[in-house]
Amino acid sequence: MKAAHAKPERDLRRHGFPMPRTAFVLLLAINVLAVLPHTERVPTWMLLAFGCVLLWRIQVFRERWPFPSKWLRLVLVLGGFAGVIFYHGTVFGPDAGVGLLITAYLFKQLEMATRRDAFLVVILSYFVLATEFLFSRSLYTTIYVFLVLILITATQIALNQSEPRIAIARPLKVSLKLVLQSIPLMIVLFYLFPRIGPLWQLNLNTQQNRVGLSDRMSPGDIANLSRSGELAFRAEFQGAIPPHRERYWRATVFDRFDGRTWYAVDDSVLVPLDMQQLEYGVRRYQYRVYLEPTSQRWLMTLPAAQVSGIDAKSTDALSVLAQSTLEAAVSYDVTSFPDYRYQRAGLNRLDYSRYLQLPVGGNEQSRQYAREQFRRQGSDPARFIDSLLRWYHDEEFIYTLNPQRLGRNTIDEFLFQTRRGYCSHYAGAFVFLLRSVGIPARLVGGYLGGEGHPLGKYLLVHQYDAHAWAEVWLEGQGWVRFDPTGAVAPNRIEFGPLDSTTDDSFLRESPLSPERLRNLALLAQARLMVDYVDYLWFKNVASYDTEAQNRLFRDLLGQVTPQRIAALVGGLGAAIVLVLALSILLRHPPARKLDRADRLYLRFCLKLQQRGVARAAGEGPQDFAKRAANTLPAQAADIEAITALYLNLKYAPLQKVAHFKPQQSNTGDTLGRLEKELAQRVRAFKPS
Amino acid sequence: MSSSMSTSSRAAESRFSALSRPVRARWQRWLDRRIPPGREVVLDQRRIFIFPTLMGFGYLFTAFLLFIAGINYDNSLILNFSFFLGSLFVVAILQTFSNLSGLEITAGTTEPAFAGTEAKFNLHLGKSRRKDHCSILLEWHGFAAEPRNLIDAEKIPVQMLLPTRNRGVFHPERLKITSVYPLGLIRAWTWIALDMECLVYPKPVVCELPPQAQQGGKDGKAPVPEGNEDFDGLRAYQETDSLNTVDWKAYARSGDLYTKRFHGYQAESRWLQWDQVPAQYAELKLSQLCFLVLDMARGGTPFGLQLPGVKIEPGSGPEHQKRCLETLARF
Repeated sequence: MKAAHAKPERDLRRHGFPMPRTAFVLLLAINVLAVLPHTERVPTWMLLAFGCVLLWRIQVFRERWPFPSKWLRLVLVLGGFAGVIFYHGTVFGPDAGVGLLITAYLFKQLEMATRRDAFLVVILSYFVLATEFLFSRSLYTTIYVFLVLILITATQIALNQSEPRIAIARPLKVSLKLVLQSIPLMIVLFYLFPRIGPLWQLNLNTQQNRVGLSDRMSPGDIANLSRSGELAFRAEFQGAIPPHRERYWRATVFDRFDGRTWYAVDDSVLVPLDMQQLEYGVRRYQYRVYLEPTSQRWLMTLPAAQVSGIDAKSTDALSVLAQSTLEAAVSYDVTSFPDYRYQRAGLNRLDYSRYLQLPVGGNEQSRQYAREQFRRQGSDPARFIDSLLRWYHDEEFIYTLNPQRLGRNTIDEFLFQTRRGYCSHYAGAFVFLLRSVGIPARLVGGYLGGEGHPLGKYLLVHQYDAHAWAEVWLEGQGWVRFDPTGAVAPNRIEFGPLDSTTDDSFLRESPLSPERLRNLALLAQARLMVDYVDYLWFKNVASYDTEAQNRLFRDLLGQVTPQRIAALVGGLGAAIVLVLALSILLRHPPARKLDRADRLYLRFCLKLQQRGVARAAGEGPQDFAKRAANTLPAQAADIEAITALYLNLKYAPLQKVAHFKPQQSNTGDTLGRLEKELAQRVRAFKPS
Repeated sequence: MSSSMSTSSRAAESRFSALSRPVRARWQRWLDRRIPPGREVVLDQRRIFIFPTLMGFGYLFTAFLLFIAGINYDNSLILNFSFFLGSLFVVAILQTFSNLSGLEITAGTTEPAFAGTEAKFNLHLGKSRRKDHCSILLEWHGFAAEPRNLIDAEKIPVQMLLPTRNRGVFHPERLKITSVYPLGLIRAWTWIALDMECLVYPKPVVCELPPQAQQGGKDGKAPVPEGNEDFDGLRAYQETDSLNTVDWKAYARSGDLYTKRFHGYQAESRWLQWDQVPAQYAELKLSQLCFLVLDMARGGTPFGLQLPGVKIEPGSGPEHQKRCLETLARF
């Protein structure tokens, strides 16, 4: 007796089960594919260990090696955990968490003996895969995740089907069908399932080194940033897009200077925007910003800005701060008033002293120069500023990304020795000079410009658009923007950074960056296309949140009440499940399609039936032909010819074709000719 | 194999006995109403039960965790991932149900067995619609058959070996048909009562053939002409005669072949009688009689069977043996 056949499932579960080969191959594949995007969350040497683990598991499957002993497994997995914790220096945060998760996930392979273990690996695969969205929410990540999801589902199918050996395509096909069937309901749930706010606050500090503006600025900082082609944010406009020279995207203001480094104004000292002191002006721009994560609280806007759609506050420095640091992409709506005036009436004492602050000593030559120049211009701030900008323009100042290193007195060295610098040099020195003669001024950090997109009505702002400029408080005018860089390299303001440097230092770090290949029209178009798709994805899907859902509910329901929401979600969900159920349960595979010869022959039989010669059930074509010929002797020849052709087509050629295939390439033609003839004869056949 | 089977059937029994008798009876009545017995059963929604497996609950828990993570990290794509898992679960319910529905079970033949051995129950699985059925598990009376697939074939035979315990007419419990295909998250199952029975003969128990009773004897009964007990005389050899019966001495003497002729007595055929077997208890008596019937049938001697109220005239051959065994089984 074949004992294995009768073994109850319970026994199999206890003693391990014969893992189908297909399931095993799929399990290894999903292991590798689920971990692949996470390779940077674990130390590099761990990848080698993972490789060994998989190799060992393969050897176990081939029955060459046994499973490692319990103690060895324990040592291995604890070692792995220790490695990850040491690597990250913490057990908290998504990076360390995911690192630990994938370590447990891969080492689980070494004790995957039973069906239940295999299932646990599948469940862990779902987890590992889903965590990828913590780090990236792009369309391309989503596509990858869904492709791996199809594989995971196929693995589950392969684990549950009973044939020991099947082609890998079968579970894949079934899996694809199941995944496609689940997508409609998923979409309804995604858009309509009521979103609720976070249940508890999480501190989501990824340790990724983000490229972007920081809260301090030393000479050369922005120059480094300018070599990055990464996207900073997108701004989608309703109505007019501002011209290039008005695209001063403000992030923050730097108020303190220690002789070398400028520090951003501290969040805690910022007071809310004084609405009494703000005059909006006539023109306005309306747009929505899709901001990539920055790990800072700044929301990029064109001042003066009113922000909605996100929890944020407008500050006295005309910057806008989000509630917490931005560790994930966000989007928000802005209305900007480019002709604003702020604090025309005057600065309070505190602000006045803050924006005049300078270190006690140092940079004496610059101070001296400023004082002399100020006196020469009759102590008139406007004329003084004008003379400074002219000085920048007329003297041998060079706008470059590769300024020389500066020593202790950075301003002095820059202004009187090297004279080579980037925007932060020019703007920083400018503010220094103004402050040293008692004119309140501040350094502003942000982005200048943005690349228009041909398809979408939006601007792409990259890290290389990072910029620093100055703001000066002038009596009767309030805060006025001056961009000293424009005096040195006017192209920077009018066209952007690509054409403005006088040497080829731009984007030095990424020789293969697409930016570099911008002149190639086709590539540029492809790049913009890719960005457009990603933009649409982010705008419509990835950034869909409670607020967007409320908007949708308002559009769909008019008046939003819990009952109406429940009716909408329940009704639509039930409808989809019903359609799904009907299609799965009532749809049967179609009967085997009749081939052309059968159809023609049936038509022939129908014609005979109309003359009263019906083919009996189970009557063969030849018997029927004999009978029909006897009844209708006039058509005997036709009947025999059609029957012969039909039989030839159906049966005789099958063997012949199979037999002659190697030599004869025109068998298809022969069959076609026979079929054509049959068709003609059947059409012409008219029993009287 | 037999050990694993007996443990599982015992487990099944204990599961049943855990239910109190009236509850069990009501359950059976309900089942009979809902899924009436028949020779041919097509599974439909009235007959199929469905519930998540342990793995299904684990899967739902995963989806729930991801849902919470999506909410807390304010990550719409992780949230979407959990919605996908939920949707896939709904599809799995429908697919698992669909995998079982439309399956046609037809009762086939049965083969009798001796108590304690396995009775063969033949049945057929078929497609009532054109769709495939995968990984169908059949469990019947503690016997679990290897999972079956109906993919290319329209109909497949399944042989179930049901362990028997007591002699008599064996009506197995309901046949349980289960499938967790395709994802293993949902179990769809049904209990169907197939109108099938088989006869279980008593378990043969070895015993001595009781001494021939004298109430028959050589006298008083008509001789049977072609018997082989007593020598009658010689007749000319015919080609159909066995060479064993040739009188070789006469051949040596005369050179002609003669066949020795015997006659038997009807009384000489054995009677297997209720009173004569050594055991005290009825079941053991039947078991011993069963052994004797088999023993006699192997020996080729005609025999009769006499039980209280039943009498089978002596005879031989497989038909006779079957008749005797059936009588013992049904007694």
